[in-house]
Amino acid sequence: MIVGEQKPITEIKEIIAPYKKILILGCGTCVKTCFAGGEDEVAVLGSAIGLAFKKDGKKIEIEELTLERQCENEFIQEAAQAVGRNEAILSLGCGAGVQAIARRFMSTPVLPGINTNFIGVLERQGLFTQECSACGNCKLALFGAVCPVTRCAKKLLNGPCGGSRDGKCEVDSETDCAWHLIIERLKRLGQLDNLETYIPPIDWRAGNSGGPRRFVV
Amino acid sequence: MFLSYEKINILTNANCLHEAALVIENITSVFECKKQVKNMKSKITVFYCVNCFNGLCSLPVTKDIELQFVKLPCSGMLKEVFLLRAFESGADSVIVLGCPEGQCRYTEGNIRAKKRTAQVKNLLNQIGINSNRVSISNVSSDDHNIGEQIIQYKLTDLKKLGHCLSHTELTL
Repeated sequence: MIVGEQKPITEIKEIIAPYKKILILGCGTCVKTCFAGGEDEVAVLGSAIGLAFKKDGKKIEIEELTLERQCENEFIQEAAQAVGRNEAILSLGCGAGVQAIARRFMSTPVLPGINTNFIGVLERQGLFTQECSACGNCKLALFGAVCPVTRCAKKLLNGPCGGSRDGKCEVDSETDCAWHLIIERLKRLGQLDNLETYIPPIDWRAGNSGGPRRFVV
Repeated sequence: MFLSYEKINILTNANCLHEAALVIENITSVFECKKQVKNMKSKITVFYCVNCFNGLCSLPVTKDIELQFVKLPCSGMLKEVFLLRAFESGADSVIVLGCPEGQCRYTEGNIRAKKRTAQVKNLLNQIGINSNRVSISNVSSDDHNIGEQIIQYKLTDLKKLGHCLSHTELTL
């Protein structure tokens, strides 16, 4: 799941300042789960913006709409009429959603309402943790399904750094040491032998460093 | 039409009749606004859980106070947007009344309401509205007067805080 958080109201106010009619467009998939851009968040943001503009003595018209997914054309087309009625779109989708909307509606400014943070999971209520860096070279089979590329602060692939304490990372004492988790997990699975496998340096070209990626089915 | 000393002074300083008319128009609108602000009622919206408060209030109703009660089956039904919409529609203060912690019929409705109220406080701070205008209180169903006392306290508090939005801002 893609995790994001809503931008502060002050920043959003600055972004939408030039426009008088705004469509706040939510996304009902990933960002809804992390309470950043679902139907409820759209309503709250719409109301908060309305209140903020009233407080400043300015007038703004706000329309609210939430799509099932902002990153698929099939769902994006549902917003066509609402987009036509407004001067700009404030998208509460992730970065991919914002760009997909912009590509579809070329003559309408599309503004981001959230900061897209990472690919993660809901660890417990209200806590999301990063689990995947989308490096394009998955080696989770060797590490007992714990990713050292994402969860080790030093991205070490051939054993721990030795700096962890009580299973916590020396960089951040609130973060679990990925290598502690890997070893514990491999012990339980009886696969500690996996650690004898030498992992050569990662080919980062398969990830973000190789430029924009494409996937053809 | 009665002209104050200030108005006459401005009129005599104005270069032409047209400008003088504009000045009068502006001054009149300012005076009207002030009059409207003076006539504006202090409005309090109370969201309450039916399990802890009965919604009956024996506070003396005066011309300058407006109380609006919103009944909820549990304070957990409260959403952030309800509180914000109350402010948008002219409330100067919003009170949430929920059951004491650990006594919610639906286990954690009051805890959720507390979190959501805190979130709205944060939003109000960002907007530039005093976050003390929204508050949540845990009220026991045994104590019949506590709800009224909270409202009464809020009314005295409002005298210091004043109106949340002016008349002109509300009509925007």
